[in-house]
Amino acid sequence: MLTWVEKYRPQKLRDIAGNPRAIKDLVKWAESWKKGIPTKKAILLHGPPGTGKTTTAYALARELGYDYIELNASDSRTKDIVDRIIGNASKLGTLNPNLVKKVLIIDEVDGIHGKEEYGGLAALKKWIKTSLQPIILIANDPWALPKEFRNLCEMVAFKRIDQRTVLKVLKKICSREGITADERALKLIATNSNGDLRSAINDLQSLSEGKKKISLDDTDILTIRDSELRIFETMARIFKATSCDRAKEALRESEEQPETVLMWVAENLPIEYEDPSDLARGYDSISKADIFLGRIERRQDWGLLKYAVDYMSAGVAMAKKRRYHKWSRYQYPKILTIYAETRKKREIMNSIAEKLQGKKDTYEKCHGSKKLMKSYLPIMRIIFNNNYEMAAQIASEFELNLEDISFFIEDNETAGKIYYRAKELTSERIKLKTRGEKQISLLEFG
Amino acid sequence: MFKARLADPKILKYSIDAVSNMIDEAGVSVTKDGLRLKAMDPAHVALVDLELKKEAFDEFEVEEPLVLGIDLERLNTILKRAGTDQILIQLDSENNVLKIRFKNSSTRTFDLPLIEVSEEELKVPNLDFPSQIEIPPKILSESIKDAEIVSDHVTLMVDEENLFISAKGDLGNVEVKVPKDEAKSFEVSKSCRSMFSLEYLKDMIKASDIADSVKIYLGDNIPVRMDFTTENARLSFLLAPRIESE
Repeated sequence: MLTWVEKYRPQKLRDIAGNPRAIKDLVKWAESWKKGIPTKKAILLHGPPGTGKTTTAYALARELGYDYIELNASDSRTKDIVDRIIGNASKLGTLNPNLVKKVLIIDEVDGIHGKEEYGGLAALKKWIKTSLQPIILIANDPWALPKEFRNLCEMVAFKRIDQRTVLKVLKKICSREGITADERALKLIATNSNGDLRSAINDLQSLSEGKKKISLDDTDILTIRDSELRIFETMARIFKATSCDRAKEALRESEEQPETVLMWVAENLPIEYEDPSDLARGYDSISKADIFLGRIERRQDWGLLKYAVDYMSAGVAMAKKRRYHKWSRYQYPKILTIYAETRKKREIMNSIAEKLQGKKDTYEKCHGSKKLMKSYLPIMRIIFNNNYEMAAQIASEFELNLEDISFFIEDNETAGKIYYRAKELTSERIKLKTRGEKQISLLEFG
Repeated sequence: MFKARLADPKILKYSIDAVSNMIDEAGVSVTKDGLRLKAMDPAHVALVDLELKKEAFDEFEVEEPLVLGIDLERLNTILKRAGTDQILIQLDSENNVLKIRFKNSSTRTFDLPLIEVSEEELKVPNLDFPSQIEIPPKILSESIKDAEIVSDHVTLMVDEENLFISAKGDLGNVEVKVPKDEAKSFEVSKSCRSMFSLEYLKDMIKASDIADSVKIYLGDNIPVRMDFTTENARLSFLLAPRIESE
C-alpha cells in the first residue's frame, strides 16, 4: 500500500506547503539555466526533515520540463559511482532534445561519509565546478559539509512548516480519505510534528489505521517528537510491521546508523515480543544481522549492508506470529551506557597495551599484538598489588605514568609510591647508560 | 514457463557485454517473438534497446509474456564463462531464479537470482535525424579505437560526400574519413556534427563483432542513434551528445 506521504506528495510547485520564498529562490536559479550557465552550478536545499526539500526538487524538474536523475542515500556514493553517474550526466546532454536540461538531484548530501563513500564528496565537488547541468543538493545539516563545498553552492534554507499550514494539509488528507477527525486531535498532531510535515502525515496515517474516526483520546499514543524520540518510533514501526516492506521502510527513514538501530532492536525485542518462539526467531535474525555487520567491519565490504539491514528490520518484524497490540516502553540500550561508562577505562587499557608493545619508542619492547598485550594485564595487576619493587621496575621499563599505574592499583597512595620509585629507577638507568656511553667513547678515542 | 536454447552463445554473450557496463539492471521482456531489453543508464545519457528474435535461438518456448528483472553485470560474468558451449536458459519461477546451463562434455548450471525492476515502460524519445549512414561495423569500431588513443571524446560529422570520425587531444589529433562509396547506404540531407563521450562508445562498439552492419543516425548536437543488426537480432543505442562548452 502506498503511504500517505507518497500518495499526497505534491506534484506541482504551487501545491507545496510552506517555504514560499525558498521555492521562489530555487525557481529563479533554475530558470537562469535556460539563458546560460550561472556561476553557481549547484544549489543546496537545507533544512530540517519533512519540510519539502526533496518534493520541491522533483516538482521543479517536472514543471520546468527538465529531465532529471537522482542519487540518494540508498545508492552507495563512492567516488566511482559519483564519477560515473554525476560525471557523465553533468557533462553530457539529454537524450530527449525536447527536455533542454537535466537536473541532477542528490539527496542527503550530508550523509556521504564513512570509509565506503570515501572520496565521494571530493568527486562531487569536482563535478559541480565543471557541470553543464543544474545540480540540486539536499541536506539536513549543511554545516556538516566542508566550507569550500558550501561555497560552490547557492544556499536555500527550508524552514519548519508552521502549525496552521500542517493542520491545513492534515484536514485536506482527512477529507480525501473520508476520515472524520476531532479538530483538537489534528491540532495536537500538528503541534507534535514540530514543523515536520512528513512525520505529521505519518502520525495521522498510523492513528487512522483501520478506522474512519479520530478522537482526541487516540492521540494519547503520540509522544512529543524530537530527534531523540525518533528512534522509539523506528522501534515501534519495526516491531509492529506486518510486511517486510514496512519494516525496511522504518529503518530506511530512520536517521540512526544501522549499528545503533541493531543495539536498540536487541535491547527492546523482549519488551515487545512475549511468545518465546517469536523471541527465539527474533534473536536469530538479530544475530545474523550482527554477523553481517561484523563482516562489513572486517572486510569493508559495504555491499553486505543490505543483508544486515534486512535481517534487523524485516527479519525481526517477520519473527512474530502475530502483531502485539500493546504499547511498549522502549529502553535505551544498556550496552551504549556501558560503553560510555567504560570509555575512559578502555582508553587506558589501550594506552598501556601500546606502551608494552613499545612501538612508539626506538625499539620494540614486547613483541606481540595489542590483544596479546591486553592478556598480560591481569598478571600485571597481581604483580602490582603484591610486589611493589617489581611493579616499579615494570613501570620504569615501560614508562607507565601515574594514570596507568592507578589502573592496576585502587589505592592512590601506593600507586604514587610505585610511580616515584619507577622514576628513580629510570633516572638511575639513564645515568648508567650515559656512563656506559662515556666509557665506550673513551675506549674509542683512547 | 520459459525455456530457450542457443547452440552458439556468441550473440547473447556479445550483446550483453556491450550493455552491461552502462546499465546495471534491467527488465527483460519475454514474449513469443523473442527477448527485448529496453533500459536507460543511471546518468540518463544512454538508452539501450536490444531485440533478440525467437529465430536467433535454436529453441524458444514461452507460455505467456513475462518480465525478468536481471542484474546485467552478474549475467555478463556468468556468460563470460560460457566459452563456446551450448547455452540453455530456463526460468525457475518457484525460486525466482534463472537457470543458465552450459552444455559440453560436462554440464554447468548457474542460478541467477532475479531482481525486482520497475515495470514502467521506457519512453524512447522521438528524434528527427537529418542523416542516416549504414557502414560495416568494423570501420566504426576501428575508428573509435583510433580516437581513444588521443582523447576521451569524439566528433562525428557528415557532409554530402563523407563521414568523418575525429578526435582532438593534447597529445595529437586523429581523423578517419569514410567515403560515401564505402557505405552500404548514405542518406544525408544536410551536413551535421555532434560530439560524444568515448566512455560509452567504446562499450557500444563491442556489438560490432556480431553485427553485419551498423546504421548511424546523426544530427546537429542531438543524440546519436546506432543500430547494430544481424538477421535475427538488433542492438540499438541512443547516446546523448557532449555539450561543447563555449
